[in-house]
Amino acid sequence: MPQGRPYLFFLLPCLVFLVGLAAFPTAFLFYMSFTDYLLTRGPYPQGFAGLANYLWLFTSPSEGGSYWVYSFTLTAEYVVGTVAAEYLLGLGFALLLRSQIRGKNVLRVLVTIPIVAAPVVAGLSWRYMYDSSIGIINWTLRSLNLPTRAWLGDPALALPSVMIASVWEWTPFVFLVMLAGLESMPKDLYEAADIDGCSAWQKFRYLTSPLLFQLSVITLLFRIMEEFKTFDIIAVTTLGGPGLSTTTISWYIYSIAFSRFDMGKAAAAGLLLLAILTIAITPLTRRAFKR
Amino acid sequence: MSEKISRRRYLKYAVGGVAAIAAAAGGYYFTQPSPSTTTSATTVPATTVPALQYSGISTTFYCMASPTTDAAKKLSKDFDAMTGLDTHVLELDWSELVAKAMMELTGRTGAIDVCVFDEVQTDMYGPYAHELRDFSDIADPKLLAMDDFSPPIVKLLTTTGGRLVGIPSMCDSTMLVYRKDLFEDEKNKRDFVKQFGYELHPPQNGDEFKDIAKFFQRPKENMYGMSDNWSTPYMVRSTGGWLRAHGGNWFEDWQKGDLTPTIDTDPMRMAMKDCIWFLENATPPDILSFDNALVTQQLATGRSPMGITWFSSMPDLHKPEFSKYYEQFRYGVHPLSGNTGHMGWFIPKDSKHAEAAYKLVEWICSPQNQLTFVQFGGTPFRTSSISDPNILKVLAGGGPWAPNLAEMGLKNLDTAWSCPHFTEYFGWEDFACKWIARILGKSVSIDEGIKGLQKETEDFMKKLGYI
Repeated sequence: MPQGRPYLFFLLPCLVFLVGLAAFPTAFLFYMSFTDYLLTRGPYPQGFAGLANYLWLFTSPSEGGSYWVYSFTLTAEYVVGTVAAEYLLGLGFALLLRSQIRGKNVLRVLVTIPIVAAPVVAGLSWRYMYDSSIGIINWTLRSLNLPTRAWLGDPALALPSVMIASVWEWTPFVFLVMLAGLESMPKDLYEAADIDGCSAWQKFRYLTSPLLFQLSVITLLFRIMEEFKTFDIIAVTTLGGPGLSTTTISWYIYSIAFSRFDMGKAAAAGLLLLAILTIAITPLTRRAFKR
Repeated sequence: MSEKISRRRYLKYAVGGVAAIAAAAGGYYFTQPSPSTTTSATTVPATTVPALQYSGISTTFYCMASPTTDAAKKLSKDFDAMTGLDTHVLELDWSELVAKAMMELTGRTGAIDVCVFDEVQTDMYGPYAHELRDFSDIADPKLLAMDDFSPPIVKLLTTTGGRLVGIPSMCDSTMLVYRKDLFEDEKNKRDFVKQFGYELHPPQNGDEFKDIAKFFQRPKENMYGMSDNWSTPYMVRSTGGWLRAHGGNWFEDWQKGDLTPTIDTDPMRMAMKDCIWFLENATPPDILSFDNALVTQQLATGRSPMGITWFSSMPDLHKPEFSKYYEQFRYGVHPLSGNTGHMGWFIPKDSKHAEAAYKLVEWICSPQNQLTFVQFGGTPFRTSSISDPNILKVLAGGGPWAPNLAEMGLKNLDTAWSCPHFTEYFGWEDFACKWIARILGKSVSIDEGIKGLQKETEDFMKKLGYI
């Protein structure tokens, strides 16, 4: 390894990048979260607020439970539902399309198509499909004399509808990762299992699952972090509504920052989310890289 | 080794490429709307700027994507040709524009020379660090014909401190739109009299509004009485009309600077009950997801025979390619109280080319250029437009509905209410909309919701020093 100044010199661009685009903004965000900072009142924070912004997150509004807790809980439900569905479907497709079936290559391409579309395009497409009067879903239901639904207009259905759109878009990611994992498994183990007379389920349970475990945990980690950040699909489909039924935590933080222009509270909300996710995900991360 | 292309083939490709580019450019050019050569009724000097005075100067113009912006782009090109100015127009979606403008002003980047804004933001952008230019002292009354702007617009673009910070660019308010053919249908008229005891006509008040919406609520025919923008970010504006109709208001008197909340009141309770009644009896089941575009769609597809939407959206309804009912839409005054949404152009104090920017705005908003806005599918914003035959010939396709549209568009201003003006209005609106959404979604009772909103508003206003 090189010693002395030349070594540091080569590190400098990377350090500038990290400090400028990561460390400094995070530190400033941390500082902002303890200040009164209304953008409409001036370009700089107006004063020190202590823990008031954090307390506000848990006490606003005064009736019916805080929005932050509500949004976080809603997002957690959203994440659990979408990630579970993506994983099961992705793994299912990978197992199916790994085997020698006719048209395997064509099917692999078809399964991968959704991920090619930009999230905004995918969201808009689903929005039009869900439309009550001109959407293809209700048109199909009407043609079959089945009752139609207000998919994005009914508070009870809006979140599941958005979840379906998200699962449709991101299942291919899980599929590709799982397929890559399955393809890289040693074939001699399966041959030995065949010789021993193992059933398909036994092979899956005692061979495939343990071998895929680490990859599965990493995939789930990625998806959990991504789904917690979900914003684009909400922005093009429901804008957090109807009511508050799709006000995920990202959307809530965005509304504090860019509707209220209250940067102090938005910073506090964002940092609190970051802290919770870091604490929750760390054991998973350790587990993933331990085995 | 690559094959060498022969000279003949190379020439063939080059000519083909140039022809394709020329065809595309020609196609673009000839499909752009070309304004007619008729002039508006009022004639004033084109501009006071000597030719090519602004050569070498560049201005940045922030706009919301809309027909008004298309017209402004065309007019700014004309101005550039006369004066040598180089105008860059940046078109953004509305919510993105508000956030971006706030960032640029707060950061004092000087990036904006002219920006469109909603009258409700008049006090939001000033009077703090990022102030806006006061036009009272520089606006040339003759060139701008200020008395030809509807007085409510000018008033609402003036801050509570008395500074005129916006030149009107569009006058807009919500209004009633209805299907003439359904209202004139003999069977509908007979059935309505039988059911309600009076003649079927465009609703004049809240009770008639409810009756007529209920009458047209026919889910089996995929028809729903009334459509309005009831998406969560819009709740304050869409329910405010009901509050006003019952004699209530959000604050005591914001125009006099009294921002004491007046939400926990009987008018508010009655307003919420009316809104819930509509949700249960006379609106499409998915109305809570409707933004302005979806409301227009409901009307265009015939799913709602009656609706509340913006004056500026109406020309679209009269396009045959947009709606097969394009000849049937007519307009009326909002039966409760419409909401204003006037737009203005502002110039920040830290604009590097404020004088050039002002002259540009003066040119764009001058009376003679009003026709251009209408030719591009926009709506007129000068009082004289109602009787200008050149404008009526072009407005919304120039059909028999045009005089009715022009008249009602400007008449709604007399009764329309404006959202309260104070710097942190959007912050208040954000949580107010959430409370109202919870009331209408029945996750809190009317009483709980109203008391909760009153308390949160009081805390908010006290913290900001308004009460």
